[in-house]
This record gives sequence, C-alpha cells and structure tokens, in this order.
Amino acid sequence: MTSNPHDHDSSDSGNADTGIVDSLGDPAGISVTETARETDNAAWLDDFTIELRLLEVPGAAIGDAVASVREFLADSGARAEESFGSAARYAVELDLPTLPDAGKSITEALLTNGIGLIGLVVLGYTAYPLAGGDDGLAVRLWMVVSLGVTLLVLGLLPRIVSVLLRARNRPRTVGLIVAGVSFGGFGPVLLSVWWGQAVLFSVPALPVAIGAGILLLAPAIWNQVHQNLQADLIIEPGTGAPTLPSLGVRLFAVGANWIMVIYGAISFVLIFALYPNN
Amino acid sequence: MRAALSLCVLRALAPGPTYGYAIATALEAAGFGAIKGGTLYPLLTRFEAAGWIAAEWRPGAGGPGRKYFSLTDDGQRELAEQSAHWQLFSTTVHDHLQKGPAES
Repeated sequence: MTSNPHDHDSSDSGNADTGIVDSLGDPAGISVTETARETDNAAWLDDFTIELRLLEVPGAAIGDAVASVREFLADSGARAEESFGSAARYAVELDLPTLPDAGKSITEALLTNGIGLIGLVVLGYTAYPLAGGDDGLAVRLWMVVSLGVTLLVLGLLPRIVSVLLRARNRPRTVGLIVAGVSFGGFGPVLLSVWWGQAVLFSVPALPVAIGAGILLLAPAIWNQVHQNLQADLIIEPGTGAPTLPSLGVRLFAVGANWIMVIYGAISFVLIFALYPNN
Repeated sequence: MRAALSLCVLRALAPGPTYGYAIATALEAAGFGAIKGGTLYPLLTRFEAAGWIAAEWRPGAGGPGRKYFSLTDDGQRELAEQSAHWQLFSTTVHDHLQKGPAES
C-alpha cells in the first residue's frame, strides 16, 4: 500500500509511552497512564474543534484536521498538548480556508440575539404589573435607559460568547467575565432605576408581554431549526460520514441558544411567585 | 531552520506517498530531532494549498485510516528548484566560512 521506505505500521511504531509503561511493569499503571492520555487528548480535540468552529472553518476541513491530529497521536503515542501546543494556536497556525459567508453569521448572531434580548428585557418590564393584576404598563425613564444599555451590551455579545467558549473549562474566568459584564452593563441600569422613575407613557401590559415573549422565543427556535437544517457538519475523512461533537459540546451549544428563554421564564415565574398582588 | 525543514519535508515525500508520523520519524532519523505534529502539519497544509502535494485518506484497520501525502508535478518542480537554491546558498556560506570576506 505504501511506496515510501520511511513508512512503517503504527503497531510497531515508536510509542512515546512505551518506555515509561515498560519501566512501570504494572498493568494497572499502564491502564491509568493510557486512560489519562486519552482523556487529555479527547479534551484537547474538543477545544481544537471549537477553535476551528470559531474561526469559521468548514465542517469537512475540521473533520480532516481533527482526524490528522488523531492519526498522529495514535502513531506517536504522544499527548496532544505536547505535540501540537495549545489548541487555539494550532488552529490559527493551520491557516485553513474559512466559509465563504463567514462574516454573515456574526451579523445574523447579532440580529437574532438582539431581538431575543429586547424580548427578554421588555418581558421583564411587564412581569411586575401583570403579577399584581395591573393591565397597564407605565413606561418609565429607567426602562428606556436599560433597553439602550441592553443594546450596547449586545454589541459586545459575539466577542463575549467566543471568550466564554474558550474559557468554558475555567469556571473562575467565566465567573469574572459574567460579573464584569453584569456590573459594567447593569450598573447604569440600576442607577437609572433609582433616578429615572418619571413615567413617559402607558401601554397595555398583556399584549406587550405576549409580543415580548414571541420576540424572546422566535430567535431561539429559528436558531435551533437553522442549526439543525443547515448545520455544517464535521465530516469524517475517508468515510464521508458526519461526526457529532461530544455530548458536552452539544449540550453547551443547545444551552447557549436557549439561555435567554430559560432565564426569562425563570424570572417571570419568580416575579409571579414573589410578588403576587403587589 | 524552518526554511530548511520545509525543504526537507518536501524531500521526505520524494520516494513516494507517505503519512505524517512517517515523515516525522524519517526527519528525526536524519538528525533533525523530534518533529512535532504542530510543526509538521501546518507545513503540509501550506504545501497542499500551494498544490505541491496531494492528500488522500486510506482506510485503516479500525478507524478513519491515514492521510497519505504525495508530491504533485508542481511539487517535484518546487523541490528541484528549492534544492538548487539551497545548494547554491550552502556553497556560498561554506565558501565564505572557509575563505572569509573578499578583500576590496
């Protein structure tokens, strides 16, 4: 099958762990070392897949790059971090071509998240009067200010999401980012709540709540359907079969899509439970 | 070193189609030290984009198999050209080291 004299079968290739393993002379030690390596490599490959996705590399090219790394690691018996360095840097160094409409997806994400976020904020405004049985929503100055701040935070969302994805295995960093965005973004809103109680105008609360709920739900549903129908699947080279990312990555992606809806639903229910007939 | 490695990776493909780890071990055996995947594959990707090598997945025993790389006609021309440049460069450097700078 091969015509290059340098070729040799991986079954007798120099496995980097072999020396260590032989010196241990302990089957349990072998198993633990091998399992740890496989776990580390699997986590690295997950990170690598996410990095390539963030770089908007097509699924077929991601499948090829991941399979090449897997092949090299199987042959060499090395750890991915040692052999390829950080997943983020290696993904950039490969310099793979990106999807033709790479920039479009950022605009699309901004638009859909923007609509969802406006729905979430407006739904929050209507919850309190509705919980108290009030049909009217008094639109106050602070509400308008907070909506403005929300749109401002939205502008940063694509960058925040990619940073959060990269930091997903470091809960402390994720916590700091979330705290920073919360205090930085919602600080002015809290101040405006304190100072901006002037009523600008009144609108009926229930139709506004229904409209806001639709705005909140529609982007999440659209994203999910769009993702399922037009998913740029990662293709296993050679077989042409699509490969699914790990369960953790898939759950994270679904969770990220529905997080605003979940947050909105919980907040709405909590307001009704905590402030009945306010 | 990186420029020389690039040329030597092309040279490792000259005998016929081969795969990543075989290239790394061939270069290590030739005295280049351990070549990491993170160094080798970006070069191969660049060669493939330039049309110097072609890649083909061949089925393995229980997985996706191996990605075999082979020199294209363009790659063979590039190898010959780069080898000639390197030869000229190394002769120039060697002569300079032996004789020192020419007196004006």
